[in-house]
Amino acid sequence: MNQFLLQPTYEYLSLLSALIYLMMLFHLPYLGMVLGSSVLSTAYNKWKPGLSKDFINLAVGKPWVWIAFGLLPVLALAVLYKMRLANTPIPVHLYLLRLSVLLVVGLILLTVYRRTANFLFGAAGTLVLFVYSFHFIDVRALLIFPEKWFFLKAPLPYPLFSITPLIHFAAFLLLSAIITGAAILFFYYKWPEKRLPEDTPHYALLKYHGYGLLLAGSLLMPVVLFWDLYNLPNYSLSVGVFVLAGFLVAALFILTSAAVAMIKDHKAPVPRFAVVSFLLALLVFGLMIGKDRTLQANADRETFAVLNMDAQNARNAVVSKREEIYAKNMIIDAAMGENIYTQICTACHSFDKKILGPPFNDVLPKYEGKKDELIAFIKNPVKVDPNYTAMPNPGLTSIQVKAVVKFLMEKTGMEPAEPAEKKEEDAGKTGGE
Amino acid sequence: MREKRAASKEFTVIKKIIPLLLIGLLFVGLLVVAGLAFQWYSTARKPEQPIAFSHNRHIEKVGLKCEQCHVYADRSPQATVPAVKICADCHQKVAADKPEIIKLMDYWNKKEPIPWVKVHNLQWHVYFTHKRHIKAGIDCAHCHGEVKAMDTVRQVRSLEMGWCVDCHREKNAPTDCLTCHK
Repeated sequence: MNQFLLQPTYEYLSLLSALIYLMMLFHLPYLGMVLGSSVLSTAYNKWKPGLSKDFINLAVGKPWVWIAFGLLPVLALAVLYKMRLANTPIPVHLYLLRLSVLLVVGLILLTVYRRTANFLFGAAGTLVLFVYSFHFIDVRALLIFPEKWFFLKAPLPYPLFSITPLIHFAAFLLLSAIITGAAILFFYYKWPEKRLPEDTPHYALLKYHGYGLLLAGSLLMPVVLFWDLYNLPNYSLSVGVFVLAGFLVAALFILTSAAVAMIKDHKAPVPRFAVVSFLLALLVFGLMIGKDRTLQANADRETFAVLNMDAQNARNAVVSKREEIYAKNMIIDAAMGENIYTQICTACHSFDKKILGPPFNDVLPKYEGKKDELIAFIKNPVKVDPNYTAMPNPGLTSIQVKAVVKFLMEKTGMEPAEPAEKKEEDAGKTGGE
Repeated sequence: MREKRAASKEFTVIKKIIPLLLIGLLFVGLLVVAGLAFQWYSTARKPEQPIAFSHNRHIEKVGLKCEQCHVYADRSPQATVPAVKICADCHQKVAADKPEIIKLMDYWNKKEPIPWVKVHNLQWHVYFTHKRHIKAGIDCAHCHGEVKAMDTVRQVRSLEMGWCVDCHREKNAPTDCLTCHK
């Protein structure tokens, strides 16, 4: 698949990272809401059918909703990760494509459950989504551990490769509780299309579930966050990660305060901070995804840089190919070569003395009649004589190398020097053409 | 009546305590994050080296290979940091006016080794040899990461036993305890 992809550039790679962030922001809060509402709905299925129906209606809506927020972002993520991690052995795209089957099955089961209210469909759908979420979080966590990428053979990565995926899954479950609680308060008490009439039998009970989920999630979340920061490998951490963690703690504090205020005011028919809570819950998700993306970026900083260098090399190869064609039709000037010789080569070479490199008078005779070999050597030097340090690449263009070689050959008498008049003549001819 | 008053007084006290408790929680939370950040920043961040040597520049721009400076990597257990002479050989002439090179030449002139900070440390009970791994064709980047893209080298592999064993299994290398623990 790599051959069909363009050589990425820094800007292109950054754009991919931004798109990955955006897709995660589309997918994860929705997944959290579906998971939270389906767990609650299944739990209340036989006990309070009305409440159970409201729970499942919260996130599992019409098929276009779960296609737009569920399936499409996962497929987009598969393509984006394939491009972003082009030079690594981790097959994230295959993992996500395999997982998308689970997601579709889970969402279909829950859609059937929504229509039939059959407990078995609800329980099966919830279970499948649990398995999907766990593996999805696991694949994301794997991105922080480049050392594991070389040993991946199973269709899905081994989930217990470290404690980090478990901590991240615990964090995801708490975030799911927060977003579900906030969504209950927002959609059923503020959103005009879904707002419940006040005479609904479980009007207050539904609200209390929202408060409880918000409070429990936002109180426990910082503990999981600290545990995560304590356990993460050092190379994945940066000042940015801690700054985002600080913002997360602050946002969670505001959420807890909002939940406490609403609980204190529980007799009010409409929760006061429903909108703020929902927006804050989305912000908390955004910060958490941002933190995880920063961890991944820190962990694979070098593979990103190597991709970028490869892109630069590919661009240079195109330029030098163009120059090669240009150099074929150009009159190579020994004076230009002398100039380059004085500026660059004399740092390590002289004709008759050993400096860092060997004297030209000793080494050049072996290239007599093999001008192309000398050109190839200067373009890409390799260590020849063990008594000398390897020659660094001088970074000259094809034309410059040819000019230096012409100068060196003329100077050592291996090639006759062109008379000044002929040069002028040739230049005149070229100018005339 | 008295009981009612006492209950209401109690409730007012709780009402006052809750905001204080929440603000206390926020401060504790921020303090924990700051503490974890401080612990990471002061101990676990990539080490500061005595000279700002860039691997990226020497591998990518100059075109040097790992074993040209780490000359013992393919012939002994230790890869070893290069002798100051290896650096001085080139830098007596090349970029001699740059501040970092002046620092380097100071060590050279005083005949002192450069006090590089070791980045990759194994537990004392592990016997590891570079020579065997290089002979088996393991790329340096496999254990050290893409050093060619790093300025200051940082540890990007855990160097934990499970990771070593994963690779040994994959390559059908011995997994007997005595292979690494003498």
